[in-house]
Amino acid sequence: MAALIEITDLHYRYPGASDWALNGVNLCVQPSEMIALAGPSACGKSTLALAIAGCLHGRPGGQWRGTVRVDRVDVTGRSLYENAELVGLVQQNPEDQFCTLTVEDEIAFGLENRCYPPAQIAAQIAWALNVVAAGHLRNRQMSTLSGGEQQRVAIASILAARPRILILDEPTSNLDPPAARSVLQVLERLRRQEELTLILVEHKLGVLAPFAPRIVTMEDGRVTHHNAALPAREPLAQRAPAAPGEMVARLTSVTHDYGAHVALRDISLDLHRGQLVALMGDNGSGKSTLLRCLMGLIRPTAGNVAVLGSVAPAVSELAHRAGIVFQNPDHQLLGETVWKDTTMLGRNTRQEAEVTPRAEELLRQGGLWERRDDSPWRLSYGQKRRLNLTAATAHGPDLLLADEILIGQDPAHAHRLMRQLRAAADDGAAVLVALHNTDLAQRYADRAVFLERGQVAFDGLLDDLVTYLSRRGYHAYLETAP
Amino acid sequence: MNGRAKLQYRLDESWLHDLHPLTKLGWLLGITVGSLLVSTPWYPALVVLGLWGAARTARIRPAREMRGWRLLLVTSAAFFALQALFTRSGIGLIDLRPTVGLRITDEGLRRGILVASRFVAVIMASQLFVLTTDPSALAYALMQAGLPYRYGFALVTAIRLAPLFELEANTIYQAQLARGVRYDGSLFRRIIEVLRQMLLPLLVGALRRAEHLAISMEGRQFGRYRQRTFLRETHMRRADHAALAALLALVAVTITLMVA
Repeated sequence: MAALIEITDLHYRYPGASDWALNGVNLCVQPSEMIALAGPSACGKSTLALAIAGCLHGRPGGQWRGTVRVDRVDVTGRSLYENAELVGLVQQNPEDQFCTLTVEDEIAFGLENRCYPPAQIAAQIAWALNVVAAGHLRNRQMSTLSGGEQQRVAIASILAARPRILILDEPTSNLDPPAARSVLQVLERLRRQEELTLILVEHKLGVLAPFAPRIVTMEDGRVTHHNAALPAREPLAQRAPAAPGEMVARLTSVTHDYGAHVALRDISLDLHRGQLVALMGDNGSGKSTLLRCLMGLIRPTAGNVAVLGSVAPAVSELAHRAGIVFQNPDHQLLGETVWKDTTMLGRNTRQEAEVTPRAEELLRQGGLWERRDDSPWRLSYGQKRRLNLTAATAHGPDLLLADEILIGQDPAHAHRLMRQLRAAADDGAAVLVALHNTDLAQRYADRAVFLERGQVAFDGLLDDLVTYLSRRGYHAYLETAP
Repeated sequence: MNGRAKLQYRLDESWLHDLHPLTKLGWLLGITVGSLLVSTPWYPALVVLGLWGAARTARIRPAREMRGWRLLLVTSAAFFALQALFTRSGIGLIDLRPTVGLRITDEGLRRGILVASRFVAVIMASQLFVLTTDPSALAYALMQAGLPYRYGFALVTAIRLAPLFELEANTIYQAQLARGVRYDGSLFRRIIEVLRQMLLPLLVGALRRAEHLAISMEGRQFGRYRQRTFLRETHMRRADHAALAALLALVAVTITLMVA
């Protein structure tokens, strides 16, 4: 059978970059195949996805060598519009690619631009929503959709024009395990029923295992394996959970609402020195709100938050003894250089003498010391993440909070971040990290808290969490090995 | 997220919600221009009463659902007081010269009522328009009325992205507070400091979004053809024709009053 996609010796260098992002890629993809593109961060996966979709070769200043043939025609010989008739691209964050306010308008958008008559548009919307099992979302406002629903709508909006190839860049990175599994099931059904060729850029190969994709691995802009085996799950090392030390924070019957939406319901929780606690739960279960309450960034509607001996402390009181890392690394790059960013809290809280030597040590450990005079905006995604965590721990906080910091991280980076959090706990901090990965929680955490619709549904040891997840039918959480 | 009521479209069913967006836009323009051009105080005052009645019949309680209602009343009262106290022309009604050196005249009161009710009329009409008009329906109606679709979608995407930027700005602000940044000092200094600290992260976020959005829109053939079709076609109905006829009557009254 003739390959649907043939890539030969493809090189691409971004405008102004010194290194090739793609450095001699060769790859063939057959019709109806499911390919998983895997590899460490910045190895060229997303760039390859853009090249196949025909979004790269026309960029001013970029250097392109080699060929990408889709359906036997070189993509450079077609316009972006012509390539898009064959190849649909769903980018990493669906929210960034929506351009209308309702689900129906969003899916109609591409069909209206093609000047299809309204009756045909209506029929294709119904078909696309049906295929992704989201017919009930048709009249919803985009702002009311959950992460999983957004991903389905993003897929339907591309699918409605019936491309032959669908490329998805980290389709599950923002989703909780049940939503990720559900989206992947939809994609597998599409591949079988519609003979769609699927290319998934994915770090979490564990979640793909039930769908048996062909795994193509990349490194330094090259394909290293054309049909790699799924990485075996490393056996869990038995480690005894650290004993709880002095209590650092206590939530008592905390409730918080955002108008009609109740995010936290009657939460009671203690955090102790020396313990790393994994905060888990589906998207929207209240994890981020809980972390913000603990940091004094949100005042709960009801109940008490006591941190480090103060009741309901404001963030200005806590900043010098606590640290928080948010989901998006770009939101926390606040210094002009890596060094200034790391020591910013020390300067602002007049703790420079304490912070400076520790900041240097942490930057060296994180491999960022050589970049200390660079702008933090020039760092890679993984380096930015490490810098965020370093800046939040340079003052040796007693309480460290981290919100979904593993999103978009390859397994090696994810382990590195978890080791950094573990080290903070071993140094005596109380650490609470929101994450979806049960495997990493089992390896590094001492205790887990699982939230369901704003309530603590489980609070206990990791071994018991596994039993709890199995009993409650949260099987997707148990298949999240990196 | 926060629990504060925001001035934005609220999905509901009422005769005001059901009117064609362009009919409501026509009324908004008519009321604004009329209130600013006619110098008879009872004109904007009647407009305010009319808007109040329209809001109530559309099940909107202005004092509760319109944002900044108290601020609006306080500001219009301040406008009234300024005009009443500092207008010197006209017949004197109350003489405060012995105590505060001011004199309240009939002309001062007239101007006070005019300026205050103009202000309330324009703000109230705008808020009512926003509360009852689906912004994307407005953009689609404008495009179907002849606005080039590139401009129409600039409006739609701006409406879509505004809350995301607000959320992003809030997160950056919280990240700064957590790093010990303190916004002390005067309001002006705080504003400058917030802008200085937020500009770069917000700009980087905006550029990232713009790039992703451009790929997404072009990948869906945006801009390929000069024209496009629309799934959602908006049509004027009988109620719109009646509302437009009433608008014409308002314009006629406005012109008559201006000439008089």
